Amino acid sequence: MLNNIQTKGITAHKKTELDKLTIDVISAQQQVDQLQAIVNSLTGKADSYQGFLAVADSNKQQALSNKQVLDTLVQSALDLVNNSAIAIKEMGEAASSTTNLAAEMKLLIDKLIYTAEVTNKLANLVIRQKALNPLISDDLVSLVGTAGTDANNAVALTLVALQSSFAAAAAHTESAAATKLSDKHAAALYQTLTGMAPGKAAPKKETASLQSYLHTAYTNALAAYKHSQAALKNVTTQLNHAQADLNKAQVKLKSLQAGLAAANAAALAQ
Amino acid sequence: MNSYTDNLHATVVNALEMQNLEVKNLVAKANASLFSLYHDQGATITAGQKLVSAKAGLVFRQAVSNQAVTVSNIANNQLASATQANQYVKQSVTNAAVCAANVQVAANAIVRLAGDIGSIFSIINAADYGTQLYTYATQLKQLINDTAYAAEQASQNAMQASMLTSEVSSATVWDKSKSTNAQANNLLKLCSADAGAAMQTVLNAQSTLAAASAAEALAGGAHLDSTTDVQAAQTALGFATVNLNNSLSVSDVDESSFTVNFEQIQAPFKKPLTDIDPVSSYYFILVKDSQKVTFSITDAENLLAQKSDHIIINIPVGAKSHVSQRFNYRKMPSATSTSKTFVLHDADGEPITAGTNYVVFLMAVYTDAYKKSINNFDNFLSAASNTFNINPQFAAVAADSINVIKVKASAEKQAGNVLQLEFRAAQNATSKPEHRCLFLPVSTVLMHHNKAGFVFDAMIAEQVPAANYTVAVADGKGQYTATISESTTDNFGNPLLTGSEYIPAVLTIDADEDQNYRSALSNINTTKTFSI
Repeated sequence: MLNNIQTKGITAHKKTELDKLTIDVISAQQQVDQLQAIVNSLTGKADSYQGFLAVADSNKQQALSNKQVLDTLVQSALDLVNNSAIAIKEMGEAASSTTNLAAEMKLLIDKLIYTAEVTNKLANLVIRQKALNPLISDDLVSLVGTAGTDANNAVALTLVALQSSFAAAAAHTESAAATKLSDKHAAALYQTLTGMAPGKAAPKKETASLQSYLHTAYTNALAAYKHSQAALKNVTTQLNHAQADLNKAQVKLKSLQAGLAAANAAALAQ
Repeated sequence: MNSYTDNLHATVVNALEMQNLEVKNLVAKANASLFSLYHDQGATITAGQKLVSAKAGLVFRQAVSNQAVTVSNIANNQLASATQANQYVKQSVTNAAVCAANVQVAANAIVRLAGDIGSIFSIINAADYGTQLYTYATQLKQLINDTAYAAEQASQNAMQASMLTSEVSSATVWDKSKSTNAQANNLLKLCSADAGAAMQTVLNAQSTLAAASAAEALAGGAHLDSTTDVQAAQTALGFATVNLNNSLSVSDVDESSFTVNFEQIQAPFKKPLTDIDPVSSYYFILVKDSQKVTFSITDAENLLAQKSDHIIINIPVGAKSHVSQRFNYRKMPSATSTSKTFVLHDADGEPITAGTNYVVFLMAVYTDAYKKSINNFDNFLSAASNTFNINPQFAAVAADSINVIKVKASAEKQAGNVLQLEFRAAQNATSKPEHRCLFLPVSTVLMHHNKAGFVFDAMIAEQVPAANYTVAVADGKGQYTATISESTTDNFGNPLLTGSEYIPAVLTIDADEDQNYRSALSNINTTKTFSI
């Protein structure tokens, strides 16, 4: 027993204790270094994912803005189609009423010319009778003269009216055609924009259109943004855990270092 | 001490040490060049992936832009036709108004004529009733009445037509057409700008890829150079070992045993010039690599004198010149008792242990006859052998047990499936292995000899930073899982791309601080690939 105590004395115990503390400090330092490396790596990752998120956000905004411009355009094109339809209907009514008028004017001039011929015939008869019978009223003679002049005048004016009614009918026909063409283009615009005819239900198989493209682009950009958001959240959680582990290890290292320093100071005190 | 032998020994030690250092330096260089190649390959793969995605973005944006051009063209045509329609309708309005006015004037004239004829009829009716004149007048009166009525009706219809024409809303259509056209052209501008930017991205990605692959080719060349240098230096060291150090080497180190190899010492002269066997017995001594510079023949002689037979191990002189003997260093046979065994101890008297680098020295005890013949009573000590350690190695995870499967997402997450990596690994009671799951992109740009297309081994896998791998979770029954989440990246730190192929790899590494276990990487060439 005595031998044992002599070979493993207090100094040896102290030395063992100091050695153990030193090893603990080294191992705690290693732990801190490892955790620091993990924290650094995750910090870098969090930074790049922050960057990815910013890019995804800007892409999403861009896609949303494009989509909004498109949606407004589609609405505008639809309004145009609807307005065109109204204009076509109005133009149709105007054109048919003008065409009817022109036909009516032709009948009128036919009637008028016949009436004027008969008026002239009566005037001639009155004048011949006046030569045979002076008792025929002078007023009558004067009146048939006026009637002849007025008949000529009426025919001349009605011919002008006839001409302008045909001119109007021609203009209306052209206008109706132009309005129809404009409407056809408006419908084509809407169809190209949306991939479907105005007022029709969307086809089962969506055709490639600006609307489908830009809507898909926005859907994808939104999904990518959400994905980025989730990824950043993951990385941040991982980083926080690693940071917490590192803090714990640092506290442990500090306390071990303090312990070692105190033990060394005590052991070496003169 | 004999200075001849000492000088020779010093020369041998120096020569071997220099060669050893050369090999070490070159291996370090080769490792550095391997890492630099790995990083350059990573940069090339990243650039390749960016180019692929930039190209896909360009294709899409060009399609959008083309569609926008079509839309804009139609909108331009539409505006032209709406403008023309508006002008025509304006003309129609004018024409209808003129027509209405003219019809009105004509009707007035016809009514005046009707008045004249009415007066004529009245006079004839009064004065000439029943005459031929009266018959004509009656007929004329009926005619003019009918005509005047038709004229009045025409006048009303003309007014109606003029009103209807004025009501045609072509101006509204034109306004709408103008604003629609402006919007369509604005959208075209936006889409063209997007396509232009996407084109620039592709060009940038192309030049990045070109630069990266140029750097990668250089790094590949540099790595080839340095591995060639290492091979040359190793050949030189081998030659020096054969000729200067009796081919002393330690080989086939495993968890319990190693083999000591050497060539027996021959007398410098053959029979009949001398007829003396030089060596009576051989010994080998295990020495820490850090102590090999100071270990000397004196230390060896002391160990021999103290009969430290758990340190200085006898190898009998053999019939063949080449000796190759295997030792179970955990169960060395005892010289005194056949039933007892002991653990091999090093020259410091400490048992052999993992985590320390060792060398062996060969000691030859010369025969008395030989010693007498040269009048030198020193024994022989070799230079140090190659460095080795008994660090155990983890078993690599079997490649055929690695699978990526779809599992139901957990409740707190969004609906749908998530991918999960699964594998089986042997349980180890004494160690704490960490299983790092890595996802290697299968490169379409690079053509390295393995499945991934770029250099990748356990040494490189150990250097992959924590952010780029996922530590697998054990279920305690040998089954391990790792979830592939939104933030999972490949080994280079790039997010996993949809549609790209990846090889799952598992690095089994020591989580203990001692790091005595050597890591093992699953075989990436036989693992099934997956894509998200």
